[in-house]
Amino acid sequence: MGKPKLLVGTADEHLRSLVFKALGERFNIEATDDGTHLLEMARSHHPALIIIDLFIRKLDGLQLCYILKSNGETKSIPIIAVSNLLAKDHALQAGANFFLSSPFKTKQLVEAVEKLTRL
Amino acid sequence: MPEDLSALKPLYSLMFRMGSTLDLQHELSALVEELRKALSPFAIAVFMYDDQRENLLLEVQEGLPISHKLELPVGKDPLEWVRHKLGGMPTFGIPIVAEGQLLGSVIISTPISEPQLSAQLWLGQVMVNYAAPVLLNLRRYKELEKLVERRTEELRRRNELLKTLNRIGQTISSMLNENELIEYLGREIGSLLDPSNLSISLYRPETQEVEVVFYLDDGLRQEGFKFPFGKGLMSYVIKAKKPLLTSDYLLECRKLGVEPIGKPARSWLGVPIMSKGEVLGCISVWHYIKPDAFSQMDLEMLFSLASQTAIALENARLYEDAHRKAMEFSMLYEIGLATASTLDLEKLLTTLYEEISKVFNISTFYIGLLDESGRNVHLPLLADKGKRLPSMTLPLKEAGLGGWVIKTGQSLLIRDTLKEMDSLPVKPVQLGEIPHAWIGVPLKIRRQVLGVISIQNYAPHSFNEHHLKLLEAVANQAAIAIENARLFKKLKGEA
Repeated sequence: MGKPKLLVGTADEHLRSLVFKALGERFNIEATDDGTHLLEMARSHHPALIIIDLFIRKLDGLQLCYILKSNGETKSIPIIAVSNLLAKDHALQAGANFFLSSPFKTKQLVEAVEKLTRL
Repeated sequence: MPEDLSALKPLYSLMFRMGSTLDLQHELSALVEELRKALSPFAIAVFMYDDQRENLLLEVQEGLPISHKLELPVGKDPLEWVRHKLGGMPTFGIPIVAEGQLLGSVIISTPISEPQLSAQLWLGQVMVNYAAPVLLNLRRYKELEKLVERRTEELRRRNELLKTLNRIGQTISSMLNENELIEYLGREIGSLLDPSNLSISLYRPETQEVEVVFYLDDGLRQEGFKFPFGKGLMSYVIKAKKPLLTSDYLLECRKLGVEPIGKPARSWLGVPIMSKGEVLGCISVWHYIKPDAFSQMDLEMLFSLASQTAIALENARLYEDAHRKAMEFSMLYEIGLATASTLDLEKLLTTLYEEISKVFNISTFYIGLLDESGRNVHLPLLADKGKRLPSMTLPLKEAGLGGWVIKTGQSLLIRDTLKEMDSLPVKPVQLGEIPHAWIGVPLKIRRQVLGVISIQNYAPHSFNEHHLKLLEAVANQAAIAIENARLFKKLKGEA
């Protein structure tokens, strides 16, 4: 059995490489900076978890959370929203399961992922 | 929440100020000013997503050491950018969220530290949350305004197009010459679509070719040309009898299994010229770089124009057909008159040549008459490209195709000498350039063959069965007159 899939939606190179470094061994990670593309990937890949940066191209992170959680196919996928804005309430209200305020430590990310995926 | 309600005064002030205009800059400036009064920050910057949500635009700022407008691509963090500009001062970001959409962010750099900081940021968030729906409505208003502008422009353009189409339709319906019609259309399509690249092509089913009769490439008028039917998207449009609009010419060719022709275009639009279910040709426009140079509206406009063109082409062809028939009757009448009124062989042959030249598109013409021995063919009238050449005599067996007509008493039609070379009854006599189209009909009185009339053209497919029948009718009239003139000449000689 292959590694579980994890999607990352961000245009931030730093966040992308941090996720690959922290979780690359345990997950099959795919990344995109395009919100509409992320939606398609979520529907076709059925990932174990999605990490979404709030500022992303075409669709923003809040809209993405709302759409993913409103869709029967994707609503069970856990979402971690990431931002350095004071956006925790907005993110959780939109449907994110966890809000990670950046900058954060790798350990915080790994713990959040483990908690949400039980992996 | 602050216990002292007087801390909410800035919010109260903001509620009075915001939402009174339709000017984004004005509304954002009001927000920034009230935030400054409430939080006394080092700097405030408001970044908003652009329309395509590809960039974040710095719309309004106070306290930052820049004077120009700024655009950050999504992925470059505005908060980090402001912090960096201020040498690492404590900086916070408040999202601008309305109806679940992230519109942008307000970045605040403040000298205040805990415990006051939390209360201050809470107030900032409340103020931004109040402003967010106002900003969303403004954005929607701007989008609506753009939509209305776009629709108005579309309607104006459609109206102009209809006027132009009507004018073109009226003009071409009165044109009875195919060439003039094509030229006029070529110029007028330019005024409708402004294409740098345009072709008007006619389908030639008899030769299975497509003939490009008007060709504009990169804005320059070029010579027309022909290509085999089946190649290129024009052939597809003619075969499918329906318009085609594509943003990628080569990809479309691959998809449809069509061999591309010419320099590959990017966007391509072609419409069939159709009359009574038959395709007469195709009008196409293309762009070498832009993938979306043409719209559905352009397609509809061009298709409508092609329908008008089809009617005009039909009219022109009917007129040309009627004109041709009138010319043919006139020729037969004039030849009838000449044959009945002259016994002068030279005069008779000259009249035949002149009248035939008026009706047939000929490069070369000759009348060959058998001599009394029956072994030689005398050519008393031979003309090439409008010039009479000296008469000559050839042995019958070396007289090529004309000799074959005399020997067999049968007519012969060759549409393309080069292509039909292997199936010809005899090898043609080559005196110079080989005519591609060739007709020879015998001059016969009852079963006796006197000679041959031959017309030729250097362009293949210049003649068809109709031309053959018509020349046979001429030959029937001419044969009796020629025989009479020869007998008269002989009698005159004996006397």
